[in-house]
Amino acid sequence: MTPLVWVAVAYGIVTATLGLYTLGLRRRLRRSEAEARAQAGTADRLAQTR
Amino acid sequence: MRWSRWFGGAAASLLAAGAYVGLFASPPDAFQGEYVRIMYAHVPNAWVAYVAFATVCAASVLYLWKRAPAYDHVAHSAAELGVLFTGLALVTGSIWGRPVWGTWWTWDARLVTTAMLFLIYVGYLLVRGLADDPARGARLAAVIGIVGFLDVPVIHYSVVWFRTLHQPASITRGDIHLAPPMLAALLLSLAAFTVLFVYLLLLRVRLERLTAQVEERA
Repeated sequence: MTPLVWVAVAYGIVTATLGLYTLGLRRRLRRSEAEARAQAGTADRLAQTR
Repeated sequence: MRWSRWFGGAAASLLAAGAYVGLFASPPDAFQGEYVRIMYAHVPNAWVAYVAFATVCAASVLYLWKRAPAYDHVAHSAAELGVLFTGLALVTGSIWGRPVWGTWWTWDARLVTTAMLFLIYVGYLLVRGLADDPARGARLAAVIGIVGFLDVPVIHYSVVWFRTLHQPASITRGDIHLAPPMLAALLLSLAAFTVLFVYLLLLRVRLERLTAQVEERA
């Protein structure tokens, strides 16, 4: 393999890993925020019906 | 959230600039040739791993002292990031080692102590994940987080204390063994990865806090 291929493989692995981790983390965070909002909404509705 | 957006934008810009300088603007090395460019990805990953585990250690000490969950959230988040960046440092080092040293792996002091660091903090994450009582798991993990950090100075000084294949540090106190364009590429990459670490840590801590909040209310 030529030097440029080794360099491309190293940068490709770093970029793909960090990119996928960041996207996954942001997705988990959005889901968690939605879940927390839904939970807060349910608690408010329960308080109003009482 | 505003701060994390700012850090996200800064990290993306610095990473793009660092990749450009490291891949195109900096010269090849006299001995390593073009392979030196892998160093601009390898060294920052190792540096950020050190920073992440120093954060785990400091947050773990504070957690054991104050017992405030916020410190545990920081320690847990930083440990996950530390494992990610140590893994990338090991992989990029291996990719560099194959063409330059002629081997993917060698039982060298620097490599072995770094692999040990990776396994210690994988153990840290497993202890947290497998604990029946989260509070007990957090306390045990905090102890591992503090003791595990003792490996970081051993890694750093392994090239001085042992006869190793790994080259010694290029930047030491008062002495720099790098040509200015290479130093600029390395410093830019170090800055970019450090800002990226701060960004990811802010997101990860927020996730940890929200998850704890949701579990508490359920």
